[in-house]
Amino acid sequence: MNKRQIILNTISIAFLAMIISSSVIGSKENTLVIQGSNTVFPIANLAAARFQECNPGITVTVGGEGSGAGIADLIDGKADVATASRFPKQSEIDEANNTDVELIVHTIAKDGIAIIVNPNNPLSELSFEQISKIYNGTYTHWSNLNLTVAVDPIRVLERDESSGTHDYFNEEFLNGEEVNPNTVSDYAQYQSTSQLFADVAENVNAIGYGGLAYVDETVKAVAVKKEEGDTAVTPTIATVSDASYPISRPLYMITNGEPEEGDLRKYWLDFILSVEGQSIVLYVGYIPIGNYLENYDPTNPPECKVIVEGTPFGFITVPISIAIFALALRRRN
Amino acid sequence: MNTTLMTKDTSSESKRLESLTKLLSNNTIGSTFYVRKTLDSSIKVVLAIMTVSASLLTIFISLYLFIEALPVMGSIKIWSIFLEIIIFILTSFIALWTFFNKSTFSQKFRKQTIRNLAIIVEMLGVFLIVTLLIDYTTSKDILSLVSVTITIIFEFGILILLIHLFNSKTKKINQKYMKPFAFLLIFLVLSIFIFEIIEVIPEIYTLSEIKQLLFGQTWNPKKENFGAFNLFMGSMIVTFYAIIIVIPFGLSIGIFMAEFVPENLYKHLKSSIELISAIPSVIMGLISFRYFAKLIKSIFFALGVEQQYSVGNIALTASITLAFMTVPMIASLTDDALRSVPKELKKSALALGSSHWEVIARVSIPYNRSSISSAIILAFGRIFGETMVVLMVAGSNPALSKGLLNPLQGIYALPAAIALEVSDVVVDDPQWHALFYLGLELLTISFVITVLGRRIASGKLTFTSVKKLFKKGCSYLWNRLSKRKEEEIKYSENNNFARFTKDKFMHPKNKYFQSRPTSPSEEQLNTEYFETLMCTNSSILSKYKIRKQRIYTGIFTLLTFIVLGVLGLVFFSVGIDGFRNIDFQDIIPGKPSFSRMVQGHYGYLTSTIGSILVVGTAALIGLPISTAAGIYLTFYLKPTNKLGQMIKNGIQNIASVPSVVVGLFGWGIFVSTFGWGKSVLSGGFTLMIMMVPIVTSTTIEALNQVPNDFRQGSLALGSTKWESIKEHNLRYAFPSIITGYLFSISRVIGETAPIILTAAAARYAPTYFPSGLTNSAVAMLPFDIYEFGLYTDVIYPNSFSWAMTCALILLVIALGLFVFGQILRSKLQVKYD
Repeated sequence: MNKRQIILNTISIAFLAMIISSSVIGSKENTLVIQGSNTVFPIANLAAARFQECNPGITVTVGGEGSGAGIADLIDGKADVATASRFPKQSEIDEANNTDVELIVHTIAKDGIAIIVNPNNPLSELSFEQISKIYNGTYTHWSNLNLTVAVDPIRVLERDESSGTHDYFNEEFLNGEEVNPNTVSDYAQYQSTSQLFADVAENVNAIGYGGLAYVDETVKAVAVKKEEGDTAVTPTIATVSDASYPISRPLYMITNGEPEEGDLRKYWLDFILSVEGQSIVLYVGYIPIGNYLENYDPTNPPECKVIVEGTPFGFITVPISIAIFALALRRRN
Repeated sequence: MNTTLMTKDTSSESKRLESLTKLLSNNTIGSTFYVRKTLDSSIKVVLAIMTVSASLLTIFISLYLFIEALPVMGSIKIWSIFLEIIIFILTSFIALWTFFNKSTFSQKFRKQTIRNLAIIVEMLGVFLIVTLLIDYTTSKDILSLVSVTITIIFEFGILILLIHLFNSKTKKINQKYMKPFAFLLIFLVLSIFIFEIIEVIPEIYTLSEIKQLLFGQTWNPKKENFGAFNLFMGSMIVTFYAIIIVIPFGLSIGIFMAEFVPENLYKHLKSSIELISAIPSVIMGLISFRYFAKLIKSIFFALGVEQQYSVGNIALTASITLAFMTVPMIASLTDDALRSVPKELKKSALALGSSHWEVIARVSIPYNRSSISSAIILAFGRIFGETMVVLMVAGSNPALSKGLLNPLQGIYALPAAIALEVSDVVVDDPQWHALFYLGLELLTISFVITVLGRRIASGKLTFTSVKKLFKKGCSYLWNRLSKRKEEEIKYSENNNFARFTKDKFMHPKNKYFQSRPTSPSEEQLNTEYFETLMCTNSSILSKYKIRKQRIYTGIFTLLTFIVLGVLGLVFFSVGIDGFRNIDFQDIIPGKPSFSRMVQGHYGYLTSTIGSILVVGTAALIGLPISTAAGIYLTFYLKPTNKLGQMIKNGIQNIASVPSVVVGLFGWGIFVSTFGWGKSVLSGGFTLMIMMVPIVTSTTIEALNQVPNDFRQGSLALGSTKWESIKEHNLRYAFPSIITGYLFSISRVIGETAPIILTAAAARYAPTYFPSGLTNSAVAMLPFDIYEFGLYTDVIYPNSFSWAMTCALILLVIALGLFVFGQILRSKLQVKYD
């Protein structure tokens, strides 16, 4: 056996050893697997990091494969908590019932959607019907709404298909249809919300939508009312949180059965709904549903309550794989 | 044999002989001989199994996609009958062709063909009977029963004839038997065909589903509207404009490299142009999304059309990016083609007083018409299947509101739809099947385009060959009718040179060449050479010609430098933006802490390890299979053999399957059917499919470079076939094979579309490794680039610079492997002189 073969063999053995050691280590106890929505992933991601920092004995794995994948994993028992940006479908509830899984849905945050226009636009409030008519092309000019804007044709902006906000907006205002660019007088589609907001800030005749957290002084968030007779509500964290502002979608965490005291899942949900958890929700750009800190500084977070103490096992993986690697080398020589 | 051995380099030969005698003394012929013999034959079987399974992958992929797409494409019965009709038409066509084409096919071959056809018809008949019986049991349709009886009678007849044919296998079958049998066969095929049509007519109305899929204009999966026409058109718009943009750049860089660049610069220019192809497409997508789209937007702003087109994410942006990515492909193919032009042709053109530019335009390019056009067609297929750029840059609205061919609008392309919508689809929903239909459509189109391109490149399909085939058919009929024999002008079909000289120089209008013989003698070539030398003196050329030549040279140089400049900008931006965010604290073991994460440090080591794990798994599975296929095709089943050619083509065809379709296949098979979930194993198996064609072709190339004499010598000294291959050819070809491995890994590590579907997901975990080989998604570099690149800084702090860091690491790994492979090849290559 020549040198080259030895090197190749050891590399392949070390590679296998690393995989095996990493899969063997990591006990099932004190681990929490969270799987699901891409939209909720940023919340779960940061919260998990903070949760583990507070509780060194706990290992949290977070995945963002999609709401459907999360609920499927929960039903299969592969995940402890599923995250979702939509309520479980009837087919999923049926499947859960067939496998004796009880889907308990917890609302952990809200995604407030603001309708925005240029600050120079005199528009101050809109009803649901008017929003629908703007997006389906019935109103093509601002003069249709009895407004005088410097550029009259309405420039309709929307997010792309990959966005959950896009889906929610179309479901709410267009009965699930897509915007038809032929019927509106001016149209653009963006792959990120900040690009869309920049367009609104540039064009006086533009109208768009996006997460409330993106709203700053360059654009104006319009007050919205559900019916013609209602009072229009301006979107703020408070109005979205108490559901007086009508356009928002809840974000969920789903568990199998109601977690009881002493269950790791209970600690996790409690952490998310705690003051710090809700502050993280706001930091990431969604709307908290409980109390939160006004001036939360994530680089210098407040003291946290330790729930589970213990030794972390994660770091053992690397030395063990190195040891196996060394062993393999020795045996070869 | 011995004499050739003696003339070879004696020192290395004596070494060889020494080792051979050692081998012989170790293994005395006797009991061990049988062990060695069995080992030899069993290795052959293993190699054959690996090779055949690799070559069948494409068929397997397309079949799987077809089966999964069936539920949205209409009833199963109609499709099975449709398939049968296609097969019947093909078989009858082949039967007719072989039977009447007496001059080209031998008696034996025709006999075999007819026997094989009979077997096919027999098998299809059994299939038909089974389907019709199933149909009868469910619908109690009397038509089915009648048709079953008719088919059984036909089947019986064929069976009797078949038995007769097989019995008389050893005897000579003369024309007497064959003619009626062939006619009977054709009659049977036709009758079944007609019967099938009658069967299908009542069901033809249910074809509305496929019509909707092909031509429907609304794609709205939530409402179960699956009209894929606008997605197809979106892809076509992007591809069409990309091709229009890439042609001038690619061709002029190719011409510049072949004709104008001094030899010492040529190598550097060629390798730097080829570097473009080593940049992973997701990095190009990110740069295009962040910088190029903004540039386009500001250009439109400056032009004053900003009211309508202020969005940068339009088809044109994607087209330009894709054009840049395809430049090396067209350029190197053009370069190779132009270098293959015989010197005599160029010299004689120079001798006639044409300038350098005229030689290129009137001689070199027309001579290589077929290879240049095939390069363009192949580039078309490549762009059509490219996913990441259209996904990240081209928008995602399927409406096509500004006209079907307007590139100044956002489009939703076929591959982008697959990659985007897979993430949240429920298994066995209509949308699931619709996505497989999209995959099938994408696969069919790019496959057909690639096969077309390859046939044009190999000279099998040219305008003249099509014309000739048509003429042949016509003249055959004419001969039959008028019993007149036409004089055939025969010249070698594969000899391009002869054809070219004939077409161009021996043209009847060209009086000068009318009297010349077709092949010039040695003396004439010498005189031509003198003339050429004289004509290179530019004083002969007119001022106009010189000016024209200078202008063209200037344009070529300019375009080359534009492309090189863009390449430099890409490297510069990735380098600067990526390096700015690198923090070496991330390398220290430990999970990324909360306070570090909010500062934009997500732990790139995890993603790097994830990428290495998945690609390593792919290499562990894929490299042995493809090396085995290479060995098998070189030594056991030569590619010159008909079957070997078929198998080789089968393996090569995998390369023409778009990466997103491979991902879709992996998603259906490994992620869903096997239940592995998004994981290392699913991703590894999927990427393995992409590795196979690259490594197989490089292995065959490497093994063919080793002189066969060594192996023959060892065979003569009593080693088995496998021993001789292992000890000689594999050992000498080793450096080149390893280079092939490195190239394939560098190509595959940047693949994004397959791993989005099968392995990677947004993941946060405190360990570097996924928790298992299955059911645990991996963090991977290309996925992080895609995910963080498109997100905004509100949700992920510093997400863009994070994506750029990942891009830098990925680029360093991919380019490092690429360059290392190139260096290795040049350093380690064994010379056999």
